[in-house]
Amino acid sequence: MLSVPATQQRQARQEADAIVMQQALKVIFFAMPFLFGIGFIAPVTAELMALVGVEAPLGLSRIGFGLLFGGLWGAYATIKGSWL
Amino acid sequence: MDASAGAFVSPPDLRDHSGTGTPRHDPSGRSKPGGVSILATEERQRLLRMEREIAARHIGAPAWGYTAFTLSGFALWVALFPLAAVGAVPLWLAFVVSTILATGGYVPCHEAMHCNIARKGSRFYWLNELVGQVSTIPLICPYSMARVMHLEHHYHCNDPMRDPDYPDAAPSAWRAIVKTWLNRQPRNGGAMHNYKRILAELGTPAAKRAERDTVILQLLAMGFFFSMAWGGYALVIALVWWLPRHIALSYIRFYLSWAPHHPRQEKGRYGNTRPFKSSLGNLLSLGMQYHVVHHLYPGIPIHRTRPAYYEMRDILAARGIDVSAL
Repeated sequence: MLSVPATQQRQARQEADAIVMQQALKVIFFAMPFLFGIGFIAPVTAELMALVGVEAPLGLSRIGFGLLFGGLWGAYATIKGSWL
Repeated sequence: MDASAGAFVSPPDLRDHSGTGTPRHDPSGRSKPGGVSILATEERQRLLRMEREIAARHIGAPAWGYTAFTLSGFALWVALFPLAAVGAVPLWLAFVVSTILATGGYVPCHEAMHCNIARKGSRFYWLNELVGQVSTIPLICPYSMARVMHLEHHYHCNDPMRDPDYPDAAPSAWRAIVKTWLNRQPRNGGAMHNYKRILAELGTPAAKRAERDTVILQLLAMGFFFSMAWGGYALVIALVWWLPRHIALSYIRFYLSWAPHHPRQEKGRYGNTRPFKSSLGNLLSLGMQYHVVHHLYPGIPIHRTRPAYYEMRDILAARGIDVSAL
Protein backbone atom coordinates (compact mmCIF):
# COMPACT_ATOMS: atom_id res chain seq x y z
CA MET A 1 0.00 0.00 0.00
CA LEU A 2 1.35 3.39 -0.97
CA SER A 3 1.81 5.90 1.83
CA VAL A 4 0.41 9.39 1.25
CA PRO A 5 2.51 12.28 2.57
CA ALA A 6 1.08 13.99 5.65
CA THR A 7 0.78 17.34 3.89
CA GLN A 8 -1.33 15.80 1.13
CA GLN A 9 -3.50 14.04 3.68
CA ARG A 10 -4.02 17.30 5.52
CA GLN A 11 -4.84 19.13 2.28
CA ALA A 12 -7.31 16.42 1.26
CA ARG A 13 -8.96 16.59 4.69
CA GLN A 14 -9.23 20.38 4.46
CA GLU A 15 -10.78 20.17 1.01
CA ALA A 16 -13.28 17.57 2.23
CA ASP A 17 -14.15 19.78 5.22
CA ALA A 18 -14.64 22.75 2.90
CA ILE A 19 -17.03 20.74 0.72
CA VAL A 20 -19.03 19.62 3.76
CA MET A 21 -19.16 23.22 5.00
CA GLN A 22 -20.32 24.47 1.59
CA GLN A 23 -23.05 21.86 1.44
CA ALA A 24 -24.19 22.69 4.97
CA LEU A 25 -24.32 26.38 4.13
CA LYS A 26 -26.28 25.66 0.96
CA VAL A 27 -28.86 23.74 2.98
CA ILE A 28 -29.05 26.50 5.61
CA PHE A 29 -29.50 29.25 3.04
CA PHE A 30 -31.98 27.20 1.04
CA ALA A 31 -34.06 26.70 4.19
CA MET A 32 -33.49 30.27 5.41
CA PRO A 33 -37.05 31.46 4.62
CA PHE A 34 -38.43 28.65 6.79
CA LEU A 35 -35.91 29.39 9.55
CA PHE A 36 -36.85 33.06 9.26
CA GLY A 37 -40.50 32.10 9.56
CA ILE A 38 -40.08 30.29 12.85
CA GLY A 39 -37.12 32.32 14.13
CA PHE A 40 -38.42 35.79 13.44
CA ILE A 41 -41.93 35.97 11.99
CA ALA A 42 -43.34 33.77 14.77
CA PRO A 43 -42.25 35.97 17.69
CA VAL A 44 -43.06 39.16 15.72
CA THR A 45 -46.59 37.82 15.14
CA ALA A 46 -47.00 36.94 18.81
CA GLU A 47 -45.78 40.37 19.95
CA LEU A 48 -48.03 42.14 17.43
CA MET A 49 -51.05 40.17 18.64
CA ALA A 50 -50.21 41.05 22.24
CA LEU A 51 -49.75 44.70 21.29
CA VAL A 52 -53.21 45.00 19.75
CA GLY A 53 -54.81 42.64 22.30
CA VAL A 54 -55.83 39.89 19.88
CA GLU A 55 -56.10 36.32 21.13
CA ALA A 56 -54.98 33.38 19.02
CA PRO A 57 -57.70 31.24 17.43
CA LEU A 58 -58.30 27.50 18.02
CA GLY A 59 -57.18 27.75 21.63
CA LEU A 60 -53.58 28.29 20.59
CA SER A 61 -51.19 30.49 22.47
CA ARG A 62 -50.00 33.58 20.61
CA ILE A 63 -46.55 32.14 20.07
CA GLY A 64 -48.11 28.85 19.01
CA PHE A 65 -50.15 30.69 16.40
CA GLY A 66 -47.05 32.65 15.42
CA LEU A 67 -45.12 29.43 14.88
CA LEU A 68 -47.92 28.00 12.78
CA PHE A 69 -48.27 31.17 10.71
CA GLY A 70 -44.54 31.89 10.38
CA GLY A 71 -43.66 28.25 9.81
CA LEU A 72 -46.22 27.79 7.05
CA TRP A 73 -45.37 31.07 5.34
CA GLY A 74 -41.65 30.34 5.62
CA ALA A 75 -42.14 26.84 4.24
CA TYR A 76 -44.14 28.28 1.34
CA ALA A 77 -41.34 30.81 0.63
CA THR A 78 -38.70 28.08 0.82
CA ILE A 79 -40.52 25.88 -1.65
CA LYS A 80 -41.64 28.63 -4.02
CA GLY A 81 -38.54 30.82 -3.74
CA SER A 82 -40.67 33.88 -3.06
CA TRP A 83 -42.62 35.25 -0.11
CA LEU A 84 -45.49 36.16 -2.41
CA MET B 1 -9.44 41.36 -10.39
CA ASP B 2 -8.61 42.95 -7.06
CA ALA B 3 -11.56 45.04 -5.95
CA SER B 4 -9.32 47.80 -4.71
CA ALA B 5 -7.53 48.10 -8.01
CA GLY B 6 -8.81 50.99 -10.05
CA ALA B 7 -11.13 51.91 -7.26
CA PHE B 8 -10.63 55.63 -7.74
CA VAL B 9 -11.79 56.08 -11.24
CA SER B 10 -12.95 54.37 -14.36
CA PRO B 11 -11.91 50.85 -15.30
CA PRO B 12 -8.17 50.58 -15.91
CA ASP B 13 -8.65 49.45 -19.49
CA LEU B 14 -10.36 52.74 -20.25
CA ARG B 15 -7.94 54.97 -18.39
CA ASP B 16 -5.21 57.04 -19.85
CA HIS B 17 -1.99 57.72 -18.01
CA SER B 18 -3.32 60.81 -16.29
CA GLY B 19 -5.37 58.56 -14.03
CA THR B 20 -8.32 60.89 -14.25
CA GLY B 21 -10.65 58.33 -15.63
CA THR B 22 -10.48 59.65 -19.14
CA PRO B 23 -10.78 56.95 -21.77
CA ARG B 24 -8.13 56.38 -24.40
CA HIS B 25 -10.78 55.83 -26.98
CA ASP B 26 -14.22 57.32 -27.17
CA PRO B 27 -16.85 54.87 -25.98
CA SER B 28 -19.32 57.71 -25.83
CA GLY B 29 -22.03 56.13 -27.84
CA ARG B 30 -21.98 59.29 -29.95
CA SER B 31 -20.84 57.38 -32.95
CA LYS B 32 -22.54 56.83 -36.23
CA PRO B 33 -22.98 53.29 -37.47
CA GLY B 34 -19.61 52.07 -38.57
CA GLY B 35 -17.84 53.83 -35.73
CA VAL B 36 -17.49 57.29 -37.32
CA SER B 37 -17.68 59.86 -34.55
CA ILE B 38 -20.11 62.74 -34.90
CA LEU B 39 -17.53 65.07 -33.41
CA ALA B 40 -14.21 65.64 -35.07
CA THR B 41 -11.25 64.15 -33.26
CA GLU B 42 -9.76 67.56 -32.47
CA GLU B 43 -13.03 68.76 -31.04
CA ARG B 44 -13.38 65.66 -28.89
CA GLN B 45 -9.87 66.10 -27.58
CA ARG B 46 -10.53 69.75 -26.82
CA LEU B 47 -13.71 68.87 -24.92
CA LEU B 48 -11.90 66.12 -23.07
CA ARG B 49 -9.15 68.51 -21.98
CA MET B 50 -11.74 70.97 -20.70
CA GLU B 51 -13.60 68.18 -18.94
CA ARG B 52 -10.42 67.00 -17.24
CA GLU B 53 -9.49 70.49 -16.13
CA ILE B 54 -12.84 70.87 -14.42
CA ALA B 55 -12.67 67.41 -12.88
CA ALA B 56 -9.18 68.06 -11.53
CA ARG B 57 -10.56 70.96 -9.49
CA HIS B 58 -12.98 68.64 -7.68
CA ILE B 59 -11.14 65.31 -7.44
CA GLY B 60 -9.63 64.85 -4.02
CA ALA B 61 -11.85 67.44 -2.34
CA PRO B 62 -11.98 66.97 1.45
CA ALA B 63 -14.44 64.26 2.41
CA TRP B 64 -14.09 64.08 6.19
CA GLY B 65 -17.76 64.77 6.67
CA TYR B 66 -18.52 61.25 5.44
CA THR B 67 -16.34 59.78 8.17
CA ALA B 68 -17.99 61.89 10.86
CA PHE B 69 -21.47 60.99 9.61
CA THR B 70 -20.69 57.29 9.40
CA LEU B 71 -19.05 56.83 12.76
CA SER B 72 -21.53 58.96 14.70
CA GLY B 73 -24.44 57.48 12.73
CA PHE B 74 -23.32 53.92 13.39
CA ALA B 75 -22.91 54.64 17.11
CA LEU B 76 -26.41 56.10 17.17
CA TRP B 77 -27.81 53.14 15.21
CA VAL B 78 -26.30 50.64 17.67
CA ALA B 79 -27.58 52.70 20.61
CA LEU B 80 -31.11 52.60 19.19
CA PHE B 81 -31.47 48.90 20.06
CA PRO B 82 -31.08 49.18 23.85
CA LEU B 83 -32.78 52.59 23.90
CA ALA B 84 -35.83 51.25 22.08
CA ALA B 85 -35.79 47.99 24.05
CA VAL B 86 -36.03 49.76 27.41
CA GLY B 87 -38.49 52.31 26.07
CA ALA B 88 -36.15 55.30 26.44
CA VAL B 89 -36.82 56.07 22.76
CA PRO B 90 -40.27 55.47 21.24
CA LEU B 91 -40.22 52.63 18.77
CA TRP B 92 -41.63 54.80 15.97
CA LEU B 93 -38.84 57.33 16.43
CA ALA B 94 -36.19 54.60 16.50
CA PHE B 95 -37.69 53.25 13.27
CA VAL B 96 -37.53 56.64 11.53
CA VAL B 97 -33.96 57.36 12.67
CA SER B 98 -32.77 53.86 11.78
CA THR B 99 -34.30 54.11 8.31
CA ILE B 100 -32.53 57.43 7.68
CA LEU B 101 -29.21 56.08 8.96
CA ALA B 102 -29.43 52.85 6.97
CA THR B 103 -30.30 54.71 3.78
CA GLY B 104 -27.89 57.62 4.19
CA GLY B 105 -25.14 55.26 5.29
CA TYR B 106 -24.76 53.96 1.79
CA VAL B 107 -23.49 57.33 0.54
CA PRO B 108 -20.27 57.31 2.60
CA CYS B 109 -19.83 53.63 1.77
CA HIS B 110 -20.04 54.55 -1.88
CA GLU B 111 -17.36 57.20 -1.37
CA ALA B 112 -15.18 54.62 0.38
CA MET B 113 -15.56 52.22 -2.54
CA HIS B 114 -13.91 54.84 -4.74
CA CYS B 115 -11.33 55.70 -2.05
CA ASN B 116 -12.62 59.25 -1.95
CA ILE B 117 -12.22 59.46 1.82
CA ALA B 118 -8.55 58.47 1.70
CA ARG B 119 -6.52 57.06 -1.17
CA LYS B 120 -4.91 53.65 -1.04
CA GLY B 121 -1.41 53.99 0.37
CA SER B 122 -2.20 57.19 2.19
CA ARG B 123 -1.93 57.61 5.94
CA PHE B 124 -5.66 57.53 6.51
CA TYR B 125 -6.61 54.73 4.14
CA TRP B 126 -7.63 52.60 7.14
CA LEU B 127 -10.30 55.22 7.85
CA ASN B 128 -11.60 54.89 4.30
CA GLU B 129 -11.93 51.15 4.84
CA LEU B 130 -13.47 51.55 8.29
CA VAL B 131 -16.16 53.84 6.89
CA GLY B 132 -16.91 51.30 4.18
CA GLN B 133 -17.03 48.37 6.59
CA VAL B 134 -19.27 50.06 9.12
CA SER B 135 -21.73 51.82 6.89
CA THR B 136 -23.32 48.80 5.22
CA ILE B 137 -23.83 46.70 8.36
CA PRO B 138 -27.42 47.98 8.73
CA LEU B 139 -28.04 46.74 5.18
CA ILE B 140 -26.54 43.30 6.00
CA CYS B 141 -24.37 43.68 2.94
CA PRO B 142 -20.62 43.54 3.57
CA TYR B 143 -18.43 46.28 2.20
CA SER B 144 -16.34 43.75 0.26
CA MET B 145 -19.43 42.59 -1.65
CA ALA B 146 -20.77 46.11 -2.17
CA ARG B 147 -17.43 47.30 -3.52
CA VAL B 148 -16.80 44.42 -5.91
CA MET B 149 -20.32 44.72 -7.31
CA HIS B 150 -20.20 48.49 -7.58
CA LEU B 151 -16.89 48.48 -9.41
CA GLU B 152 -18.25 45.84 -11.79
CA HIS B 153 -21.20 48.16 -12.35
CA HIS B 154 -18.78 50.92 -13.35
CA TYR B 155 -16.78 48.64 -15.61
CA HIS B 156 -19.81 47.18 -17.40
CA CYS B 157 -22.52 49.77 -16.91
CA ASN B 158 -25.83 48.74 -18.54
CA ASP B 159 -24.47 45.45 -19.85
CA PRO B 160 -27.33 42.99 -19.27
CA MET B 161 -24.97 40.14 -18.38
CA ARG B 162 -22.10 41.91 -16.64
CA ASP B 163 -23.62 44.90 -14.84
CA PRO B 164 -24.68 43.57 -11.40
CA ASP B 165 -27.32 46.28 -11.15
CA TYR B 166 -28.99 45.49 -14.45
CA PRO B 167 -31.92 43.61 -12.81
CA ASP B 168 -33.09 47.01 -11.52
CA ALA B 169 -34.13 47.98 -15.05
CA ALA B 170 -37.85 48.78 -15.25
CA PRO B 171 -40.04 50.76 -17.64
CA SER B 172 -41.44 53.16 -15.04
CA ALA B 173 -40.65 54.54 -11.60
CA TRP B 174 -43.46 52.65 -9.88
CA ARG B 175 -42.52 49.37 -11.48
CA ALA B 176 -38.91 50.03 -10.51
CA ILE B 177 -39.93 50.46 -6.86
CA VAL B 178 -41.90 47.21 -6.90
CA LYS B 179 -39.03 45.47 -8.64
CA THR B 180 -36.56 46.49 -5.94
CA TRP B 181 -38.60 44.31 -3.61
CA LEU B 182 -39.28 41.49 -6.04
CA ASN B 183 -35.56 41.28 -6.76
CA ARG B 184 -34.91 40.48 -3.10
CA GLN B 185 -37.10 37.38 -3.08
CA PRO B 186 -35.13 34.23 -2.21
CA ARG B 187 -34.92 32.62 -5.64
CA ASN B 188 -36.40 34.88 -8.28
CA GLY B 189 -33.20 35.38 -10.28
CA GLY B 190 -32.93 39.05 -9.26
CA ALA B 191 -30.11 41.07 -7.82
CA MET B 192 -28.61 38.49 -5.47
CA HIS B 193 -28.76 35.80 -8.12
CA ASN B 194 -26.92 38.17 -10.45
CA TYR B 195 -24.35 38.99 -7.78
CA LYS B 196 -23.62 35.32 -7.15
CA ARG B 197 -23.26 34.57 -10.84
CA ILE B 198 -20.91 37.50 -11.42
CA LEU B 199 -18.83 36.63 -8.34
CA ALA B 200 -18.45 33.07 -9.60
CA GLU B 201 -17.42 34.32 -13.03
CA LEU B 202 -14.89 36.72 -11.53
CA GLY B 203 -13.36 34.04 -9.32
CA THR B 204 -10.83 36.52 -7.93
CA PRO B 205 -9.62 36.64 -4.32
CA ALA B 206 -11.73 39.77 -3.83
CA ALA B 207 -14.81 37.99 -5.19
CA LYS B 208 -14.23 34.99 -2.92
CA ARG B 209 -13.71 37.29 0.04
CA ALA B 210 -16.95 39.09 -0.80
CA GLU B 211 -18.86 35.82 -0.93
CA ARG B 212 -17.38 34.63 2.37
CA ASP B 213 -18.08 37.95 4.10
CA THR B 214 -21.68 37.91 2.87
CA VAL B 215 -22.30 34.44 4.27
CA ILE B 216 -20.76 35.37 7.62
CA LEU B 217 -22.62 38.68 7.94
CA GLN B 218 -25.96 37.18 6.93
CA LEU B 219 -25.60 34.28 9.38
CA LEU B 220 -24.56 36.64 12.19
CA ALA B 221 -27.46 38.97 11.45
CA MET B 222 -29.99 36.15 11.33
CA GLY B 223 -28.59 34.73 14.57
CA PHE B 224 -29.00 38.16 16.16
CA PHE B 225 -32.53 38.54 14.75
CA PHE B 226 -33.67 35.14 16.00
CA SER B 227 -32.13 35.36 19.46
CA MET B 228 -33.41 38.90 20.06
CA ALA B 229 -36.86 38.05 18.71
CA TRP B 230 -37.20 34.98 20.92
CA GLY B 231 -35.77 36.98 23.81
CA GLY B 232 -38.82 39.25 23.75
CA TYR B 233 -37.59 42.02 21.45
CA ALA B 234 -39.11 40.92 18.16
CA LEU B 235 -40.82 44.24 17.43
CA VAL B 236 -37.68 46.17 18.37
CA ILE B 237 -35.64 44.19 15.84
CA ALA B 238 -38.41 44.40 13.26
CA LEU B 239 -38.68 48.18 13.50
CA VAL B 240 -35.06 49.12 14.19
CA TRP B 241 -33.33 46.80 11.74
CA TRP B 242 -35.50 44.57 9.55
CA LEU B 243 -37.99 47.07 8.14
CA PRO B 244 -35.52 50.01 7.88
CA ARG B 245 -33.17 47.72 5.97
CA HIS B 246 -35.83 46.82 3.43
CA ILE B 247 -36.92 50.42 2.97
CA ALA B 248 -33.29 51.51 2.65
CA LEU B 249 -32.47 48.82 0.09
CA SER B 250 -35.44 49.78 -2.06
CA TYR B 251 -34.66 53.49 -1.76
CA ILE B 252 -30.99 52.96 -2.61
CA ARG B 253 -31.81 50.68 -5.53
CA PHE B 254 -34.29 53.18 -6.87
CA TYR B 255 -32.19 56.31 -6.56
CA LEU B 256 -28.70 54.97 -7.05
CA SER B 257 -29.47 52.41 -9.71
CA TRP B 258 -32.76 52.84 -11.52
CA ALA B 259 -33.19 56.63 -11.69
CA PRO B 260 -29.76 57.69 -13.01
CA HIS B 261 -29.45 54.80 -15.48
CA HIS B 262 -32.96 54.59 -16.82
CA PRO B 263 -33.66 53.35 -19.53
CA ARG B 264 -30.35 51.39 -19.44
CA GLN B 265 -30.02 51.19 -23.21
CA GLU B 266 -26.64 52.79 -23.80
CA LYS B 267 -23.33 51.49 -22.54
CA GLY B 268 -21.07 54.32 -23.66
CA ARG B 269 -19.27 56.75 -21.38
CA TYR B 270 -21.57 59.61 -22.26
CA GLY B 271 -24.73 57.61 -22.62
CA ASN B 272 -24.94 55.16 -19.73
CA THR B 273 -26.13 57.73 -17.20
CA ARG B 274 -28.57 60.60 -17.40
CA PRO B 275 -29.00 63.81 -15.44
CA PHE B 276 -32.50 63.85 -13.96
CA LYS B 277 -34.62 66.13 -11.84
CA SER B 278 -35.79 64.44 -8.66
CA SER B 279 -39.05 65.53 -7.09
CA LEU B 280 -37.36 65.00 -3.72
CA GLY B 281 -34.40 67.24 -4.55
CA ASN B 282 -30.72 66.41 -4.73
CA LEU B 283 -30.14 65.68 -1.05
CA LEU B 284 -33.03 63.24 -0.65
CA SER B 285 -32.16 61.56 -3.92
CA LEU B 286 -28.75 60.93 -2.33
CA GLY B 287 -26.98 63.27 -4.77
CA MET B 288 -27.89 61.14 -7.75
CA GLN B 289 -29.24 63.91 -9.99
CA TYR B 290 -25.64 64.52 -11.12
CA HIS B 291 -24.65 60.86 -11.30
CA VAL B 292 -23.34 61.41 -14.82
CA VAL B 293 -20.39 63.29 -13.32
CA HIS B 294 -19.73 60.40 -10.94
CA HIS B 295 -19.55 57.90 -13.78
CA LEU B 296 -17.23 60.15 -15.76
CA TYR B 297 -15.02 60.91 -12.75
CA PRO B 298 -15.67 58.64 -9.76
CA GLY B 299 -12.86 60.39 -7.90
CA ILE B 300 -15.08 63.46 -7.47
CA PRO B 301 -16.84 63.15 -4.09
CA ILE B 302 -20.61 63.08 -4.33
CA HIS B 303 -21.05 66.52 -2.73
CA ARG B 304 -18.90 68.04 -5.50
CA THR B 305 -20.72 66.45 -8.42
CA ARG B 306 -23.29 69.23 -8.49
CA PRO B 307 -20.85 72.14 -8.98
CA ALA B 308 -18.77 69.97 -11.31
CA TYR B 309 -21.88 69.23 -13.37
CA TYR B 310 -22.73 72.90 -13.87
CA GLU B 311 -19.14 73.68 -14.82
CA MET B 312 -19.18 70.78 -17.31
CA ARG B 313 -22.74 71.24 -18.50
CA ASP B 314 -21.92 72.77 -21.90
CA ILE B 315 -19.26 70.15 -22.54
CA LEU B 316 -21.66 67.36 -21.66
CA ALA B 317 -24.26 68.87 -23.97
CA ALA B 318 -21.69 69.01 -26.76
CA ARG B 319 -21.03 65.34 -26.10
CA GLY B 320 -24.66 64.61 -26.77
CA ILE B 321 -25.92 64.22 -23.21
CA ASP B 322 -29.44 65.54 -22.67
CA VAL B 323 -28.87 68.17 -20.00
CA SER B 324 -32.32 69.74 -20.28
CA ALA B 325 -33.46 68.30 -16.94
CA LEU B 326 -30.90 70.29 -14.94
